[in-house]
Amino acid sequence: MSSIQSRVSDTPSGPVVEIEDLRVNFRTFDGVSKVLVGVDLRLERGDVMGLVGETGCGKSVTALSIPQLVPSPPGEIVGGDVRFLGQSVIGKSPAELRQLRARHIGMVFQDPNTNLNPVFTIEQQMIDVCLCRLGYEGAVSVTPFHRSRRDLWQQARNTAIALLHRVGFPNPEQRIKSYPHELSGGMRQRVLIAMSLAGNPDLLIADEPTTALDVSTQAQVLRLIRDLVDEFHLTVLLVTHNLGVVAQVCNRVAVMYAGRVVESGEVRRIFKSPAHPYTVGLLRAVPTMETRRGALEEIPGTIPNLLSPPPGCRFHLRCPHAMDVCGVEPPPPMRPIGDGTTVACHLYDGDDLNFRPDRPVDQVVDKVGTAGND
Amino acid sequence: MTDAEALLAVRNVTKAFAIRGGLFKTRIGEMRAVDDVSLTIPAGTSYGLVGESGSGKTTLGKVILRLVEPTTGQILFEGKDLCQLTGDELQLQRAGMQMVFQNPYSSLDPRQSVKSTVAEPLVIFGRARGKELDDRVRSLIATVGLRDEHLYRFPHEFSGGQRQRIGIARALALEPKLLVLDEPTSALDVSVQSQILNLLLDLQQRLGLTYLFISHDLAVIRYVCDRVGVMYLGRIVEEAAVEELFARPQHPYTRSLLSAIPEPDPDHRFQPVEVNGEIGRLALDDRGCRFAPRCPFVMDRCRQIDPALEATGSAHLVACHLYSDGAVSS
Repeated sequence: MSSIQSRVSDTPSGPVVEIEDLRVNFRTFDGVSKVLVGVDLRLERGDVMGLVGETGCGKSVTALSIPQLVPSPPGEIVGGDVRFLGQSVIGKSPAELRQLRARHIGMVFQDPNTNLNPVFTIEQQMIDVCLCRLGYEGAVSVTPFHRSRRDLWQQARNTAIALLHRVGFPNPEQRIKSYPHELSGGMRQRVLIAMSLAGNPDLLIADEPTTALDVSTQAQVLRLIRDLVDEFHLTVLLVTHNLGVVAQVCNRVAVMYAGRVVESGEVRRIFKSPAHPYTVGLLRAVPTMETRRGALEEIPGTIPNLLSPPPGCRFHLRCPHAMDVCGVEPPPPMRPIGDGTTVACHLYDGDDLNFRPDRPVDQVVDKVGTAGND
Repeated sequence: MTDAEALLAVRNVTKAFAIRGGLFKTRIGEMRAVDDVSLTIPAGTSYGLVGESGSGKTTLGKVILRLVEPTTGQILFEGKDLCQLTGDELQLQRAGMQMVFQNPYSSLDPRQSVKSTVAEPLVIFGRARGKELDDRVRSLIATVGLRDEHLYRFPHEFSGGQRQRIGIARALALEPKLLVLDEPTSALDVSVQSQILNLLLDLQQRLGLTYLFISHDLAVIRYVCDRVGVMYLGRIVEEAAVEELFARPQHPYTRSLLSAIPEPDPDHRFQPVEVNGEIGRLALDDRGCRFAPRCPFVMDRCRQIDPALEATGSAHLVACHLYSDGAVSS
C-alpha cells in the first residue's frame, strides 16, 4: 500500500493554480465566439473549488486550460495567463506538458463510458497509466512476457490494484481483468478516479464527474472524492452545474456566467448571502426539499449567444438590478467585498459593500410569461 | 377512489421484453421492464414517478399511452380499457392523452417550422383549418410563452427551454386531459428548468390538466406532484402523497434515495444511507424482493417471498417485509 501513499510535497508553497484574465476565442463558421472573456481564478493548496455555471458558460474550457487541453483549433488563447505551481503553462513544450499531465494533474471526465477504451481490459489501461507514473512512457513495450521487464510490470500492476482497492472497486485482484462494458457506470467512474490518482497529482480536475450517474451512485462517488481529498492532500477543481454537489463537497466556489467568473468565495458565504444577481437567481431557481409549490423563482430569458453577446455586462438583459451602466460598460474586475468573497458587478462600484440583492424578483416575472429573449 | 372516478387507472400492467440468444436467437428468457404495476390518477392531479435509470419508469409512461404494447394488464382511461381499443377508437382516445418527451433536441422535426409542428395534430384530427387553424396555433404558442414572430422559425433557431415550450404547445394542441411528461426538464439548465416547471404548474391550474410526471429528480417531483410512486426494477415499491413520502419514507430504497440527494445547503451535509452496489438487472430466476441484494435491512424472508404493495398508513403503500404483518420497525 505504501506505493500509493501521498508524497510530502516538495513543491513551493503558494497557490496551485492562478488564472489571470484568461481570454479564449473559438473560431467557428459563424464567426469568432468569445468563450472566455477575462477569467480570474485562484486555487490555494487544499482547496476544493466548485466551478459552477450553466451550459456554455465556459466552465469546462476554463478547467481544460490548466493542463492546456483546450482543443486547438478551434480554440485559441488570446490573452491572460495560466500558472500552475507558479509556472506559466502557456508556451510549454509538448514534452513538458506531458509530464505535467502525467505527474501533477489528474483528470476525471463526465462520461465514464467514453473515457475508457472498450477494447482493452481495465488491467491493461491501469498498468499503462501506472508505468507512465514510474517514468516509462513507451508503456506498450513493458509486458509480463519480457523477462527483464517483468518486475516493472508487476510493480505497476500492484500499484494499480492498490489504487483500485482504495477507490472501493470490489475484489480488484480478479476484476481488474474486466473489460469496461462489464462494469457499471459507478464502477467505471471509480476506475477513472483511480487512474487520475496514479500520478500522485497535486491537482485533481473533475469535470462533471457524477452527471452521468444515478443519485445513489453519485452520493457514493462524491463521498469517495471527499475522502480522497484529505488522504492525498489533493487540491480539487470540481466542474459542475449541480449546486447541491458544490454544497456537499466543496469549500470554495466560483460562479461563471457567459465566459466570466462573476463571483467566488467560500461556499457557506456564497450560499447564505450571494452578492451577484446571477448567483442569487441561480440559487433560487433550484427546487429543494423546502420549496413550496409556485414559489420557485425564475431567471427570465436565456443564456446569450456568445457569437453576438449583448454589450456591457452579459447578464444585464436578465438582471433584475440592471442599471444604465450595465448595458454599456463591461463589468468591473473582480473586487473583494469582505469575507473572502470577490464579485464582478457594477452594483459594487460604490462604497456600499454590504449591499445584497436579496429582494424578490417580482418585477421581472411578468417578462417570463412572454419568455425567451433570443 | 374507484376506478370510475379516476381519469387514469392502470391495473396490473406488465411489459416483458424477450431476451434472445443462442444460435437461432431463440427466446431464452424475458425481462420485465414493468412488472405488475397498478396506479390511479384522479383528474386534475399530478402523479410523480421516480426511480433510477433502468427502473422502468419511461416504459410505464409509454405503455400508458400504448406507444408500447403492454404484455398483460388493463389501462383504463376515463373508464375505457385502452388495450381493447383498436384503430379509430384508439386514435380518438389518444387525443385525450399526450406526451412531452425528455430531449427537446430530438423530439422535434428539424424540417418543420414551429407552426406546422403545432398545427399537425389539429390537421390530423381535422379539428381546425384555414383561419381558425391559424388562430388556434397562435393562441397555443402564446399559452406556452412564445411569440407570434416565432411561428415560422425552425427548431434549430431555439434554445433548449424554448424547444421544450414548443413540445408542450404541440402536446396541448388537442386539448388533452392527461399529459405524460417524461423527464421534461432534465436536459435543461437550472435557470430554464425553473421556467418550465412554473409554466407546467400554471398550465395545470388554467387548463385543469392531469399529469403523469416522470423524473429521477426528487426535488422536482416534490415541487410539481401531489402523489409519488417510487419505482425499482419494474415495480412500484412505495407510493404516497408527496408530503407524506418525503416526511416519512418507509421503504429502505426510498430512504436511501432521499438521503442521497445533495441538498444545495452547505449546512446540511448529507449522510447517505449505505446501500450495496448499484441498480442491476433482474435475475431470470428472481424470487423474493428485488431490492434484497442491496438492502441494509435484508431478512431471510426477503430472499424468498416477493413483498406485495400494502397500505401501512392512510393511503401510504409500501412493498416491504419490514412493514408487513404488523412487524413494523425502522
